[in-house]
Amino acid sequence: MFVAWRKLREFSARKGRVSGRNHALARNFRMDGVSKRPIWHPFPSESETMDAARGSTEQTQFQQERSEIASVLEQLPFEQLQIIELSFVDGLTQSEIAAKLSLPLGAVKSRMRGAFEMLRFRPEREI
Amino acid sequence: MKPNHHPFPETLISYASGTLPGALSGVIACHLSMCSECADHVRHLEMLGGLMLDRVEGASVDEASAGRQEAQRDTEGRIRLVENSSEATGDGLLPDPLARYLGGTGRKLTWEQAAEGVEQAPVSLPGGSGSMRLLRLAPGQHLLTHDRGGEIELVLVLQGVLSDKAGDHVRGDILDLTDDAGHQPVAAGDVDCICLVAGGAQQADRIRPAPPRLIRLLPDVRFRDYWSGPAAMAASVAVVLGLGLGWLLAGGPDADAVAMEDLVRTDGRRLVARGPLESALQSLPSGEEAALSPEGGTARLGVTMTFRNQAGDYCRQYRIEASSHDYSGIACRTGEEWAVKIHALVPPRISASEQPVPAGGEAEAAIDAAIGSLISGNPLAVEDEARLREKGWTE
Repeated sequence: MFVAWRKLREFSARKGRVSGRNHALARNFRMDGVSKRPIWHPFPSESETMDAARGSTEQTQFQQERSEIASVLEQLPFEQLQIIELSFVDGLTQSEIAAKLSLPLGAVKSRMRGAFEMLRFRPEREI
Repeated sequence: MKPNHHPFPETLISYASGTLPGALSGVIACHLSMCSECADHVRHLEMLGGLMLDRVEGASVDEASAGRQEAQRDTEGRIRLVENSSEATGDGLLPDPLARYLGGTGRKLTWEQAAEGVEQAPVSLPGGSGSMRLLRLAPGQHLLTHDRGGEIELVLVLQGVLSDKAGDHVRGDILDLTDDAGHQPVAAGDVDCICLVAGGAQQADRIRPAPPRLIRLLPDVRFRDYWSGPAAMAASVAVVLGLGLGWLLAGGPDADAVAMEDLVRTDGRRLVARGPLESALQSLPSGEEAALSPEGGTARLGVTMTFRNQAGDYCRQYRIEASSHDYSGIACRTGEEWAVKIHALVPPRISASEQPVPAGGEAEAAIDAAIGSLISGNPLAVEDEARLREKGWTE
């Protein structure tokens, strides 16, 4: 996992934008480095493919999405934010989060769904 | 054709955050390779995760040396999956990620009879990932969500039709069974239904090493000359993982956090020792420990060593052994106060259970690295430290 975090920092410094994909790296490194799990990529060489596919117009779209998501992040209710943070930053599983916050697993799931819905129907989204 | 049945949102979130067991991640990755809608969702979740990290990260790290470390690490060679394995892909039944995995590991699928009308082909995964296998159900056969092969939590249909109360599932569709809603999937249609199934999250959970939780608050520390070796990498985590101080002080999710409130107070962006922590730093000799609370109790507070930092201030490393967690940290004397530079959750010195302590020594390494980056010269000798304690650290 440490390598993942290193990599995150490295990428954000060098490219100044790749935050989104960084998390894909984090995920894969967590599996690779810590638990020795295979790296599952939905697509061949995930990073390259996604970078290559991103022309200048896509770059604009990427920035657009990123700022939309940033504003969603600002608007997340604390309860959802907390759970998203425990998941992404602390790397806790759903059941670990439930145990940590003394919540039923179902509550963790429904808060995650709430956050997901916010992300899916982004208020500032231009359709 | 676009899939109509997708994983639950929370399953996608856990996938995106890397907290889903390996076997389930594999199934999700396979679905994503067939479902652009979910792939988009995951991409957005990853952005969210990235922004989240940006939000919590604090002090600046020497990026150039961070890059060097990474380059070194890359040349050590990680597992690289074979990009195209026509052999494993076969007739296009297997989704790309699975085909690549099988191609990369050089393993082949072997079908075996599991029950009347049911064949299975296990996919071998590293330990702790849960279980994954392909199932071939003859028409009319029920998919047993819990059998000797273990509990099934995710199903990805690859061929034929699998029906349950949510409707018909065809190639690319997911049956997410993590809601325990009593699904009774059955192979409908007139061809064999082949699906990829995975489970074993519970087992995987148990084996998964707990990530160290580090609480980073060192705005004035620069990790200058200590970027070598694994300890330095761990130190960067201490810097990067700036978990909310708010939680720590608000009594947050941690049971021990209540006690922390009595040990530190905030002063602007600084964290200053107070109460028993302050008195221990002020007067406890290195190598000794005392009860954390004046009322007794089992929690202990000890000072490990004293040293001078590069600014010439005196710094002391402390260790708190509480009921459920141990903490270690460093505080430096500035003015009349002890400012806490780093405070981290560390593995217990002696594990309470018989099981070996999971990987987590990184937090210790982070503390060591922080000391390495702060220290000027050697730790103070016993007699020097004693003199300073008597003088109230005013020398």
